[in-house]
Amino acid sequence: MRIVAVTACPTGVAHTYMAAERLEKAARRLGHLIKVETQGSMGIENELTVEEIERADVVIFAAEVAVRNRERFEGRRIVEVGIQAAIKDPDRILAGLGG
Amino acid sequence: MAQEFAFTFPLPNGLHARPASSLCRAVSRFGSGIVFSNRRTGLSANGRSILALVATLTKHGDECSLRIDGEDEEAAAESLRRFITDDFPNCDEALPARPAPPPGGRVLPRVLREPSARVRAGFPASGGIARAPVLTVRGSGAYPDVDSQTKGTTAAELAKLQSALAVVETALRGRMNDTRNATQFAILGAHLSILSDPELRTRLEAEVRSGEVTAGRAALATADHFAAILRASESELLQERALDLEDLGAQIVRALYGPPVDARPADLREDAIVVAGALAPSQLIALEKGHLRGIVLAQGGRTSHTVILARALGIPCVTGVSGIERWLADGEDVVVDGERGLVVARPSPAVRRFYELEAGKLAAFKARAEAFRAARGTTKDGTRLEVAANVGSLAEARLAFEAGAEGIGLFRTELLFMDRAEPPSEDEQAQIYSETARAAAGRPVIVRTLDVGGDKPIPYLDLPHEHNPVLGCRAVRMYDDHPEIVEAQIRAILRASATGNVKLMFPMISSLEEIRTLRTLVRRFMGELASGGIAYNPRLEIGIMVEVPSAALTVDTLAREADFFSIGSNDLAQYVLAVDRGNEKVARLYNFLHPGFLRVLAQVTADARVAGKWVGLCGELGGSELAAPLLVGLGLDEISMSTPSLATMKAAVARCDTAECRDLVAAALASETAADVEALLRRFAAARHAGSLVAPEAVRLGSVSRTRAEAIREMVDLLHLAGRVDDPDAVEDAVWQREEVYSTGVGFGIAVPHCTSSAVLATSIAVAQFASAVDWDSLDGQPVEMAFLVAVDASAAGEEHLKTIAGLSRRLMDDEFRASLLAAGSAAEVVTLLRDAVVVP
Repeated sequence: MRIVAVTACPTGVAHTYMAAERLEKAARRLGHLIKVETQGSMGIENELTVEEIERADVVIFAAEVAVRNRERFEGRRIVEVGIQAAIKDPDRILAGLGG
Repeated sequence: MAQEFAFTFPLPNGLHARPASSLCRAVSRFGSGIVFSNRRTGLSANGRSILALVATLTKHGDECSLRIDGEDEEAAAESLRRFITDDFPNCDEALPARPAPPPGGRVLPRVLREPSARVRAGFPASGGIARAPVLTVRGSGAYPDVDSQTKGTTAAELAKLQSALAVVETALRGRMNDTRNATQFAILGAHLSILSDPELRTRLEAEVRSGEVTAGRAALATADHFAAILRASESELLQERALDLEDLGAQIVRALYGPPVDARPADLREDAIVVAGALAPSQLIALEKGHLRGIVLAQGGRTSHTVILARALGIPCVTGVSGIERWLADGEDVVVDGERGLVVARPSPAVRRFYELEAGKLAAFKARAEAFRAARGTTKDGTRLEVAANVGSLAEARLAFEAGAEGIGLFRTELLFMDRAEPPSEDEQAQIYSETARAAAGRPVIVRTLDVGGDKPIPYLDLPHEHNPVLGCRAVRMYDDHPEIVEAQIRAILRASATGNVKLMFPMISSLEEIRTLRTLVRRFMGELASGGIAYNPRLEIGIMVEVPSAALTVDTLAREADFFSIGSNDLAQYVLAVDRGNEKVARLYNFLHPGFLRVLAQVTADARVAGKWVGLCGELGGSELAAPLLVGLGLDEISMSTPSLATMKAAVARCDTAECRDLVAAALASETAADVEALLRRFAAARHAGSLVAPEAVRLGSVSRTRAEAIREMVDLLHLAGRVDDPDAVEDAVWQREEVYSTGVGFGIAVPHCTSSAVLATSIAVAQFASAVDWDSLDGQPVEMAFLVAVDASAAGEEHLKTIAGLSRRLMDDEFRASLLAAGSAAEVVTLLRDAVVVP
């Protein structure tokens, strides 16, 4: 599967990056292609391009705050999860994507 | 046939003195007997007695009734019913807003915000933390000696009582006529109505008629009786009225037996926190024999001599806690937090633990500064800045020298003149100044001549009561009226100058004429001493305080007559900023960092340098660690401060580079606001940490913290000790605000508490590895073995550091990395692992 994800947390200091790390690792281990955009204290990093979003099978929002530039994802299949869930058990989130 | 009607008590604050007195007035228009009853409390009262009404402990919503029995009962019932429905509900205003607990808008430490915590806030007058049982002390001027009065016949005692009551009543009416202050007028009125209260009169007379006590004892017993009833009430407002009764009792006793004797408290035999309305400096001195742990005062500002003395002795002191004597009982366990200006009664185990850690932290700060105790005041690049102490007595001077003072920059002589019937003689003063000079062993001792005025009462000086004492006849301005006192003091200082390095300083100089006149006087006394064969130093340096703006702006001309200058920063700031900082309404405008005030300082130091005269600074600014780089940059030759600041300031000066500090001053002078200057100083202070995110001193292995709260506090304190955080309470609060969104226990036995706060000087990480795992309400339900507290500086928000923290957060998701951190055997190893993990700077 091709997965794109966005992580964001209230202060954007730690959890944003932990969740990104956990999602990336789990996805790769399970043989998925993944790119995670982080929206934290340093702003948007590893920004998803329109093309990447177009080609993705699914979009994961692991966010406790509103995702910035959300309109980019209009019409895509979006799975919203808590950032804590992404840190705690990314495998389960990925398993729940089906396909 | 008696009349009776019921009603629900309508007033939000209950039946306290003010509504009771309006009910009383309504009742007294009728001749019938009128009884007020409260069904909830089961208490009844004579409707004519304010005290009895108040004592029914009536609260909002209580079911009450009025029973009217007598000639005019029908008319009275009719009228009172209307009064209760129409007028009574409007005879009280809303409860006065409670003063905000944290002084200066500061955040309370989290542990003190528990609903069960009994905390009162005042002013942090002298730093430090102490815990001991309470001992209440009757302040000076409370009571004459009542117990030693002999009792006359009952008739004689009754007569005495009546005339004393009349005296107090006349005095109260007189003061009501004199006052222009509405609040004072209202209080005096309340006292007057209590004094004529029938229940009070009945009880007073019954006490005397018992034939067993004097009129004075009866007055105190009666006042205590009603005060106890009020104190038992649940309403804070009523509790505060107890003070009025005690005050009235004291007034009656004074009318009976004359002015109070000097209240000498008993010696302390065990550790105690002394609690008093007010405490005279002489009382403090009498108490301090090693067991005085802390002081809490209802009155007493920030600059009273008692406070100055407490600071010099290193005794924690909180002032301005109104009604504190009633809030605390003798023997009660209490913590005095002189750092924050808090008083905590009956501390819980968590609060006790918190304060043990706080005390430990203060001790650690002190121990670090201790290394600088014997050091010379110099900057990193070798610029000399003499670090001296402000004292008010020989005893204080000795303490200051022990603490590393390089001199006495200000010997305030007022204390020698206070609390006594006549001024100290020339011989007495000469001896004190000489002893101080000898204790100084060659170091300078700057003796400032008497600085008193209408605001500091000294009975034998008979100072006029002035409308605006700080702009009135104070300091050198009153010398003409008291030539004998001036002569004795100057001669005493001259005599002491033969025994050591003594200098003479005049306060409140505003013009060249003043200093010329005083110099002429000094020359005359020198001549007299010389012809009398009495030794003195003919080259004695004579300097002036720079505290009046006109003097600050004419240092170049004053330098013709003055050998040195010492900036009195407290008074100079008050005059430059036109702010009385004792006035709560404007106190926030009082700021040493106002660019306007700094420009005045810069002109004084520059002009003194051009004139070739040395210039010092005494006053609170001299002890401000944050401002130390400014003091260095201004080019001062000496700073003088209270004794506990000496070592800290030597350490702060030693960190300074003169050239950098000069640039800092230039930037401060060009700043727009005091807040800008403060931000500038904070950035300057943070610069020394700029290169690093995590330091070994912020890593604790084997932490014994048991709870998440303790662990967070511990890590914040580590950063505080490392000088990376300057308001730990605010940082703790910010961390908890984040923690309350959801736990930062991310699982795998680790937690990453974090915050962004303006109280963070330099973005930092603190690490704690726990001896036994701490419950963190983690995602995976497992306790935490290691925590990484990330504190981000809100102002700078250094991009590089944030990147590092992001990288570190990712690395913490790696099993092996976590395992290596948990296995680390030393703080240095943890730092290295973190650095290598993501190239932490």
